[in-house]
Amino acid sequence: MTDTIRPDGIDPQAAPTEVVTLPPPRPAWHTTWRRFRRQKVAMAAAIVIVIITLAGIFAGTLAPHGIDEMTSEFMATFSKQHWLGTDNTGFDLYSRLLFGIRTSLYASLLAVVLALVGGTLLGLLSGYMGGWVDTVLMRCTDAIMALPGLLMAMAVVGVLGHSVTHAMIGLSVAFMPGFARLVRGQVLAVKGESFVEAARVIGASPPRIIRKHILPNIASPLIVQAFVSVGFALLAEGALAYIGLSVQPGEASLGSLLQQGFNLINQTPRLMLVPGVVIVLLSLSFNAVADGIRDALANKERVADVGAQA
Amino acid sequence: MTSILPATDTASDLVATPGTSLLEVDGLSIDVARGAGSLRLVDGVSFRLDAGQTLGIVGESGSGKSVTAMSLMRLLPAQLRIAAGTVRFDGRDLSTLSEPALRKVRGNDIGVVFQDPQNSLNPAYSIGNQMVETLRAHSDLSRKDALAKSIALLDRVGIHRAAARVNDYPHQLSGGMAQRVMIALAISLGPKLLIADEPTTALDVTVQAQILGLLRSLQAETGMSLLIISHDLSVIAETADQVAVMYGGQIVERGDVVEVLTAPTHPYTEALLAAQPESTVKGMPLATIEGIVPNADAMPAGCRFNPRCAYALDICRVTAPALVEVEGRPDTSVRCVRHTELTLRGVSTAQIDAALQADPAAIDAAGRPVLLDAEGLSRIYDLRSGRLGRKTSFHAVDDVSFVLHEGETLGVVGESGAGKSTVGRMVLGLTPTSSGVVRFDGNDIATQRGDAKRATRRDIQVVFQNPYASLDSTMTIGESVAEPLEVHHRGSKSERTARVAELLQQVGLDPSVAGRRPHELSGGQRQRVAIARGLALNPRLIVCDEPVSALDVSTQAQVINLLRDLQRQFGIAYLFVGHDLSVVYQMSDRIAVMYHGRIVEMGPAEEIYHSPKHPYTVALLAAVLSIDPRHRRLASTATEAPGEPSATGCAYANRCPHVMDRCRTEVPAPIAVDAVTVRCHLFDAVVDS
Repeated sequence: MTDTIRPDGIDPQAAPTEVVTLPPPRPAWHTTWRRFRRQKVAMAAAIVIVIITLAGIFAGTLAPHGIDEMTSEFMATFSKQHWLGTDNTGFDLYSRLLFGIRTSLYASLLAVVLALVGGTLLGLLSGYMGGWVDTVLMRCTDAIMALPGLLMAMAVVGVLGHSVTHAMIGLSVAFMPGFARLVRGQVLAVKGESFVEAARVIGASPPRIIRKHILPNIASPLIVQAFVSVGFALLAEGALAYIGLSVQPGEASLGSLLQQGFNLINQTPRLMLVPGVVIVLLSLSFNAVADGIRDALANKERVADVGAQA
Repeated sequence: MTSILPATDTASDLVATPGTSLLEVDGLSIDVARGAGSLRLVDGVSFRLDAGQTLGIVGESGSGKSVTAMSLMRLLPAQLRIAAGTVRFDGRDLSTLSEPALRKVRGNDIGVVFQDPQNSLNPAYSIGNQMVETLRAHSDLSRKDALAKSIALLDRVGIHRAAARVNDYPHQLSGGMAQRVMIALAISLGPKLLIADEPTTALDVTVQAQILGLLRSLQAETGMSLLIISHDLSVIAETADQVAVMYGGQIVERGDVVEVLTAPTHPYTEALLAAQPESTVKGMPLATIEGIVPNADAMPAGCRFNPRCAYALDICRVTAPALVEVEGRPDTSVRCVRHTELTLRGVSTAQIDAALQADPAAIDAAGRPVLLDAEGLSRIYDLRSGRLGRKTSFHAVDDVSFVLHEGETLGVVGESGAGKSTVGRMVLGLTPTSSGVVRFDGNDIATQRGDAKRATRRDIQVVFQNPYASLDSTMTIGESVAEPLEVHHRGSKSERTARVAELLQQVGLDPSVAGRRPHELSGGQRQRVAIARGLALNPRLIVCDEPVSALDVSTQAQVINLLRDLQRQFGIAYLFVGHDLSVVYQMSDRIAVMYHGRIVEMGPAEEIYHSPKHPYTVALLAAVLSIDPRHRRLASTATEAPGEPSATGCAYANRCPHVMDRCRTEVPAPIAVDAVTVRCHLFDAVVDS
């Protein structure tokens, strides 16, 4: 029997200290990681993403040639000097690819982070406040969703001027309603839970309830949605670059490489295939990782309790 | 009377050969796949059920009772499988029968009634449609005949105006009605065996009594056998001929229901009986079973009950006892090495009578200062059918007034939909009031702002029903308990940590659980955490919204004792909302009985329990089941489903046996009769004279 702190401690006979025989505590993410690791496809995809991302980050060191360094060889095929050959202006494709990856990943992440932050704020406001705030915000998101995402990006570029960043701001506006709606739905579900009411009873303020109780409980679907969106953003950046609305001449993104390659598709399909394959690979990988995370997070409690429930 | 129910072949055979065994289960074991290996959930269960008899399987959650029942017809979830044993039903082994042959057995020979009737019916089809489909799938009845038979069956299970109600969809039925429909479906093909898995757990007490009465009367009429699975000993005591007590996936005691319950031979059976609120004199601590039901992956060595057993010896921790026949009682088997030397206490009439006596330690709270004063509380919801539909209003709570004194417990009891939880939520400020005033310490809480509001928030805390939902699963236990302190800026971080440890000990938990997350704890442990959190700010009032109804009997007793000890120690007042009258009686100094939004009777707990005045209170008390199988309270006659609450006058008018003309037009006002206040026209005369 444990000693009670208070001298007038409750009768130990009536309220026995329960024997707690549990395995040592493990951080919450530990289980999730263990379950993610078991999924072969998701793990392979994660490794692909890590490798390609590292290649992009260290493009400056890894690339044998500068991004706008013209070599004397034109349309060269695979060789020791030029692993992936060169294009019609003498650029080294391998170097351009590394820099392109860097730009494309930066662009997609920018679009998704902006959309995630903005959408979450809108969704929280809408779901938690309800009433006319909810009605107004949701009608606005409906209006945005009615416009094609690429059109939105083109409009923003038209107003702000040509640059990757502007194109991605436009794209993030197109992604935002998706996040806002997801968050709103999740907030509505969590808001009615007993633990949120319990927090209201102790006098917790709405910002505290949102920060401490609602956000942590809606994080999992948000993470999944973010990963899926990165995949889409990569493709969208490709499309925008293809019509010349993203990177400017002299820079490179996977999309602009694709576009340049496309002009020479009859002579050297290689110029188009290489960036194309990288875009598809990255995009699919982000989707696969999203699926893996979703499965790893799903029914955490139910699985933990299976022995007790059955 | 010509029965609409087909007399089964066995029903006629019955008379010739009484005591024929219909179902014989031998050495049944069920495994659940876990990683590469498997875990044994049910271990070597054997029992026998004779034709026309009722077997009750009782056990706490995790005892394997439902899995056992579902495995009889091989209706197991994919990850579970029968690992060993045979299930002989009517001469065939169901555990090896081919799937097509088994499908014929299901429905035709064995009917099932589940716990949750609303989810067991398909919401897309009318109930008549579902019954006709079932009948036609198993017989060559024409659609018209099948419909006629469905109506007759619905009528038989007590559904009023069955011919009109066949077109209803499941969502239009109350829980009790839906369960009646499920029973009609299950018996429609004249099964020889009806399996009822917690058939009344989701229902109100009065409805529970009706459904169990219906099952018994159907059994008497058709001669079918019943297998009733329940966590509630009184359900078994009221219905069963034979009982099997399960613990940790094994049967620990099995035999005639009167013998087992009045003279148990296994310590677990004794402990379960003692933990029933009915067995205890009010005011005395309830007997508890320490610890929790073990998980399948952490079964104790030796006897599975040994860590919680009051009689455990060293040998119990080593040797796993076998299920053996009790000497001199050929019907009873027990799984305990010490059964020959132990004399255990069962249900005794004297003890139940003593428990019903007035609480000697009862305190008269009337002299204490008033803490909470609710006056004319109402909560009205406007309902509109469609955008342009007619507007109607629904009174969830209607003109409710009560006072609560310091350190007192007011029990609020009623059926689901009576508005009892809404009253608690209005006191907590979670549901706004439509009209009426809640005064705490003399101050109207609705008009409070700023610091005064924060102070009231500190003083009124809550313990919710479902401890699985009331703790945030993303926070550790320590963070949850510390949250009220953080919100009200109490102490430094280290002081808060110390206070959390102190609180956890006060509710009987080891302070080391602070680092755990909710899903690692059992239901009872989580409810203790919720109580610790409620205590953190030293409140003067705790609203307990059905705090024990999601818990097992043994855990329920622990939590009730804890709540009472804390009240004695800290002088906290409770507003205790519940549906189980025995539990509310055990907890409360005064009781308010609610029906359809109004308090129909309120007064001292003893007065309400021993001399109920309002016809509804009388009905509520009559529906309380007995745990003594020798003195069953349940009528084995089928009763018609009760009428809907009346829209005008007294809401109880449609169900009341004493209904008068004025009851249908005039809402009765609260009248003081003896020590209680009652809203009933029957007592108008008493006051007039």
